[in-house]
Amino acid sequence: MTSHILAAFADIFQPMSFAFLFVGSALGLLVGVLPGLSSPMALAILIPITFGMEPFSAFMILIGIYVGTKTGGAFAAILIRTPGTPAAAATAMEGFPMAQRGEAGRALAISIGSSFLGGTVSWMVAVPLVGVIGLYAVRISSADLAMIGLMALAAVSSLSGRDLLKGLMSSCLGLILATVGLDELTGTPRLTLGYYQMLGGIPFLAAIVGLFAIATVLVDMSEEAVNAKPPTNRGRFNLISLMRELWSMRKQLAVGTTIGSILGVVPGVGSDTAGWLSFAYVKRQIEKGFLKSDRKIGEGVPQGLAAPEAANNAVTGGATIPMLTLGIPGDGSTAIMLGALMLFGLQPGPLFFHESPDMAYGILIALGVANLTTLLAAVLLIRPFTAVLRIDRSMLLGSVLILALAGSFASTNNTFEMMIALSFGVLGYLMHRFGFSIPAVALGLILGPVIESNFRRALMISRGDAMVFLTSPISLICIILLTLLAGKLLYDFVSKSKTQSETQNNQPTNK
Amino acid sequence: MRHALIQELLVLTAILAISVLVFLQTSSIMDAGGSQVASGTFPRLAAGTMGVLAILRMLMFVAKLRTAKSPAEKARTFDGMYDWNWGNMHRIVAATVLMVLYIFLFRLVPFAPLTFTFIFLVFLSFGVRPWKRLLISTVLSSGFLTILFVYIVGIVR
Repeated sequence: MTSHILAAFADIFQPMSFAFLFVGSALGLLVGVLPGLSSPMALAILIPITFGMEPFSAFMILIGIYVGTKTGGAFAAILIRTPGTPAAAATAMEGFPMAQRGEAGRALAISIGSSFLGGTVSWMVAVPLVGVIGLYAVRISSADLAMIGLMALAAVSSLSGRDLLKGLMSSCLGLILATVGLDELTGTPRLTLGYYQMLGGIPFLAAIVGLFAIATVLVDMSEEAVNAKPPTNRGRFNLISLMRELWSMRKQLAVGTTIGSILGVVPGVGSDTAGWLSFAYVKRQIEKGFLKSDRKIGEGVPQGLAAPEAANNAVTGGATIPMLTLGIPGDGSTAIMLGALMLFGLQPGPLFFHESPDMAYGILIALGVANLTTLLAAVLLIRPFTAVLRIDRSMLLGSVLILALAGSFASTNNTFEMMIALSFGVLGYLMHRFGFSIPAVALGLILGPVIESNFRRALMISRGDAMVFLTSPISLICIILLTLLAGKLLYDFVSKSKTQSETQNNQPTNK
Repeated sequence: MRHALIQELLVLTAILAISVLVFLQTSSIMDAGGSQVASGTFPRLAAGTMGVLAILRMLMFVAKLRTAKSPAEKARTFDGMYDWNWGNMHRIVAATVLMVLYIFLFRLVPFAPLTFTFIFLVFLSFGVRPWKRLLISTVLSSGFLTILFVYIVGIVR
């Protein structure tokens, strides 16, 4: 393992690889700065462009974007109170009041420093864990993998949407869409609606471009634009003051990093939850008097900015563990990256570290180094990037649509893919409109083949005996968790019905 | 409120219809691959679960509405549906029609700068004013985007 890690470091610090990682981080920062543009959207648009590159170089760009957007999201949150990404929503609570009182420079510096520390520390914890879990992951059976995939899907769908049932329905839709095309075990065409182009399944790239890029633009177009402009007076803040300040809030940074790292492992929880939980911790500390501050919460407390920023970047370290060892994505961005791996002919999962060690360790190490390149890019490019906030939104949205459609064409030189991208864009817009979860559909598309093939393989090995899912401890734990989730649904339903009957019984007496 | 209720029920009915369609589409392949691993089993499992969840959601939605004591409480049942601005729907419809047109033009002349310029101009016309600024920014940015995209695609392919 050590030799692979050292080799990965050597590969990443090659001038071209490092340059790609830096470019990715800079692009990620830029995307993060712009409200409405998200990490999954940038990844979806960039995949067709990187498609002809060497997989390693392509992933340097994609990983740079993934990490960069986490940091960039804070810029707009601090300067115009509009989070660039959902993960930075908690950052705006204390960051914007700081900017308003002329401390934008200090707030931006704290957010960049906290992001770097949170991401790096969580990655340092994740590396040995990935190694250990990677060793054991090869022993996981097909039944276990099917149930882990199903549980991850249920977790994402129940936590990512506004409504539990709608989230679960979204993942079912993703699973159905994943079965379109030739059945890989029997060669039977399924749900192709007579289109020969669909025999190979729904083109993943076009679907992702539609769901994350086109749908997002359509949603943005339907809402009234926010015309906030960043403040011109930011104040000065130097490196030594920043280090002193970060040292003084080491406890909040540590708590934020821990929350982010732990929540990153759980599929579906995401950076925004980690950010809010860390913010709630600081708020509680101030309210209880454990943390002394001249200001009240909401008036620009630096600790309330640092903890969420450390947390939402620490999620990247935690999310690495299931993504690389089990092939289970935790959110939209990691789902797209796993999809990109498959497009490059690689198979993420328990055997990934054994079959493609260069790529697997390369990604693992790049996730850490990306924190460094993001820090460099943020320090060097902060001024031009924050100026981007002044660009008219309609111009940005037009560019995204053009790049998205042209990108879906570029991957196969086929306009059918453009139609698929457009259809998924409209589907994604309608799903958003009616409160369904878009990441759950994407995850269904990614995990569908994994769950189905392992589910059927397990049944074939056991000659049709479904008890195979109960005899393995991992599979059994997953089934218990899924049963608990179903129990919660039933409990909600029964308690609602009970309230209803009680209300109806009370009505005549009230009259 | 009645409109929101009808919308919600229509969406859930559409989901039920998709489930039924999947069942009908996969009926002919239930014997392919043997009883345990039939090709149609997995899509049917997913569609069946989706259908059951849609029915459960419908029941819960109606139950919530019936228990609501005041109009305000009823309005909360719709998960913020009233926040949606239907007044901007023309933009969505126009953008979708433009994208179809763009795909059609793309089929004729892939990556043509003129196509980019034309579409960009129309996209921008939805938001940017005054017109002079719109024209200048359109020509500049569409030209830049075209060169950038063709250049990048040309390099990587």
